[in-house]
Amino acid sequence: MPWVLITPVTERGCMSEVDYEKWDSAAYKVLYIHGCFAQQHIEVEKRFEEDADAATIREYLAQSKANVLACGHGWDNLTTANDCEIWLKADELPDWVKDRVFVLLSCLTGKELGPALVEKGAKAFFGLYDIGLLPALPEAGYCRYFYAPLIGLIEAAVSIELGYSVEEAARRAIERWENEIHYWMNFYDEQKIKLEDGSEVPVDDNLAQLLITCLAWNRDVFVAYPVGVGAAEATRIAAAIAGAGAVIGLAWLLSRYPTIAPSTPSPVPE
Amino acid sequence: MSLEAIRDWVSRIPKAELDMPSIPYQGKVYTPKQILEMAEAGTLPDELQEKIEAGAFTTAEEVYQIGLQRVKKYLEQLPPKLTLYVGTQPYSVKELLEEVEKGSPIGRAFVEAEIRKWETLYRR
Repeated sequence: MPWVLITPVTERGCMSEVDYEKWDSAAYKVLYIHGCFAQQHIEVEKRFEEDADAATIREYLAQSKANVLACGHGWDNLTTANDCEIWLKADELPDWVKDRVFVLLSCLTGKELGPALVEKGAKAFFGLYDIGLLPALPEAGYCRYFYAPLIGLIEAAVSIELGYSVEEAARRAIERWENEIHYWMNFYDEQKIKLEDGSEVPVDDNLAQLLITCLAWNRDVFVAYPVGVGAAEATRIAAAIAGAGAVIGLAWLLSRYPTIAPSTPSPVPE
Repeated sequence: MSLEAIRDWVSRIPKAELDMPSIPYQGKVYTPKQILEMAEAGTLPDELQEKIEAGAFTTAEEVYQIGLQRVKKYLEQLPPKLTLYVGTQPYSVKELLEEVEKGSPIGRAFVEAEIRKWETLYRR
């Protein structure tokens, strides 16, 4: 099944502090996502970037059967395109969402939008149950440090394309974050942050620790429907247990994830 | 626990963890490197050795202090220009530190995330 990639490039409506001409973080997302899909030879039917406005996206998807991977800001029940226009909303879902997979790199959409999509007939939804965490540095160029926090969600999309079930794809996504955490825990000093002026900043243990927190956080709020697999589920259960005073329950639940059966994660474009 | 056992314990800790405050003892939180230095100097208290061996760091207050010190340790040494997007909300390193210090919801979430990291590494 081909994919439609939606990577909005103007988000000024809700992130006015960001000057995209200088930061260009949307460009990194686009480069990374496109790089992963190209590396796996996944057919991309259409890319929305500068033209990622709500009406154009909806009009296109009404005529297409492709799966959808979309970035953009999100809320419990919606996700947005360029200039924060809402293009998908839980209580106004059109019939064309049926029979396709949605991967949303979009905060909070795992709460209402994801379940609503599956209820409406979508094959699967992969997204975040809570806010996501992303480090950024104004003068930095494209490098692994900044795209790593997205890595599990991209793995979910790639795994679906490789023929894995929704449950297996979700497990591979979590495992991909786990592998990335292991990498930054042990080999952070192999990496450098490239700056736009050509210079490089070595990644030290403090930068690594911040990134590891982002990776673990995003892993823990990841969720997949219809199977309900995801660390988000464990986090919610753990919160209930911790609330009852059993802190050790949290450690036990979180320690389950590194034990997921090994698979071969997709390579990461450098 | 012998010096060799402490060396073996430290060798199994990920590199990024070696300077992180992780082992609480009598009101202080020690890094694995400090533990190794004390062991090599012969000044590591028996009681602390036993705690390490047992992974016995159990009080909630102790655990929260570890999380707090770990977050502060790395945030204080990050490049000041680094920004963290918490959803759509950008936080500078200084702002994040303030949130952690005052125990706001986002500050506590960071400390709790750090506790989870620590739990998986040190707790038995």
